[in-house]
Amino acid sequence: MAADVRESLRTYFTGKIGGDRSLLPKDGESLVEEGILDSFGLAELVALLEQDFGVKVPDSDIQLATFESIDRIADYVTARRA
Amino acid sequence: MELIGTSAALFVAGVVLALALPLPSVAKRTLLLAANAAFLWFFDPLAPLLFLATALAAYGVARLAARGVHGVALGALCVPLLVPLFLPKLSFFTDAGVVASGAASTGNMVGVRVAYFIGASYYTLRALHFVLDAGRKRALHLPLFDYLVWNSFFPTVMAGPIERADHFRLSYASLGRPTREDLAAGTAKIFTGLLKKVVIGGLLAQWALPITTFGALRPGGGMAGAHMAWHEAWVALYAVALYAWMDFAGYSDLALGVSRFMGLRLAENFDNPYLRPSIADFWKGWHLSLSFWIRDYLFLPMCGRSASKVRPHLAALGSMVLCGLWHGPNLGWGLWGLAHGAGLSIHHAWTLKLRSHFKLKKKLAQSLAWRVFGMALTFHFVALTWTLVSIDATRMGLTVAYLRLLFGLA
Repeated sequence: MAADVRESLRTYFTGKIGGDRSLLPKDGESLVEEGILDSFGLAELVALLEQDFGVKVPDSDIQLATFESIDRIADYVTARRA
Repeated sequence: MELIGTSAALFVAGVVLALALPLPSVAKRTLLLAANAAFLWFFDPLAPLLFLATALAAYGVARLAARGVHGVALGALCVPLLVPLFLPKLSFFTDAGVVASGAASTGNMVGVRVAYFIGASYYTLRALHFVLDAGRKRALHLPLFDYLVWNSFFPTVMAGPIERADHFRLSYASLGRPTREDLAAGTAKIFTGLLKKVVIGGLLAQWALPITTFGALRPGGGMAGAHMAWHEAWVALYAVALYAWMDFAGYSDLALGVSRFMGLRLAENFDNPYLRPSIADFWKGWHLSLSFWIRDYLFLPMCGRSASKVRPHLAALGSMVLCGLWHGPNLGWGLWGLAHGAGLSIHHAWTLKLRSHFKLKKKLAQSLAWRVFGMALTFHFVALTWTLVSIDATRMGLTVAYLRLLFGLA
């Protein structure tokens, strides 16, 4: 299940950088520092998590630090589903 | 009481020394609250009472938010809390004496206000943060007494930083017990603060006079700046942009330094804003406590949970216009906010475009020339937005005249 989430996230973020997956940072690396995720993109990511992954994201969690990397987002989805 | 001067220095020294006495923690906290009240009282005897009324009302709303009141009901409860934020800035409340002595000396161009609302711009934002976080986390960051100490904390009450309660709490147990490291860091901060605000800021204020006095009627007739050359106009523009930074960052340094002497570690408020390669990065270095407040409590809630491509742009415009109006509810500050919102929006559109050519984006990010170009562009954009509020924020005709001078169109 967690692997599926990671794969979906990789596909989502690959779409943001023009489709070349080889340019995507490793799962544990910062999407924020690489300039792939910023405050403007948070709402769209939260919408994805809520609609496609079925997790409810409370307002207090909507911050870049929560979704810093693919690993962090996947862990967050797993924890919220549990 | 002037913000920097003999009486202020004696007041700070007295509080710092009193807090260093071997007193129980509760006595130190009571002492600090009394000092906070005295600081407001110096400006107007009614100021502490107005603070108390606002703060207690906000605490009551925060308790309800922590118990689950949310949405429209919570919004309606927050509306009265906005009264001290905007009421004193409306023109019919203008007090000429305070304009000259109080607002000007805060150095952050907050505009006019009456003395008994002194500090309201900041303690109201802190109160709203307390309420909104209580709703989000279903808990209060601080008990009532400590909340009052935090929200009226005198080094920050006039001009920030808008220290967050959860961050303030981290060092609160050390109140009145500064370490050697605190004393060393506090001394350095006070030194750099005075250097920025008094020495460099003082010089820049002189060089900025052609813009800050532009359009004023001269005693012998005529208008100040009417015959200014375009290069003089640019020098004054650079000076006003750098003055705004030095003066405000200097005050923030002083607030942080004084706090360190009390054992309290506040969050940094400035981080080289004019050395940033984009307008989005500029706001990660300028008045950070306000910038993060706007992001967390206006921009992100306005964005919602939507995949809409347009909504973040509207949120940037809306939140920055509100940011401008917080500084002063007039046309100049509204346009200033709109310009920054538009800048952020355009930068985001550009970022999206560049992000889809990720290899190029990474290459540009590593290029020194590209970074320098970005810095120059960002600095000039921000500097030009200062013309909207540095001349006369209510008379845009003067701003247009100054812009014509800058670009040789006069």
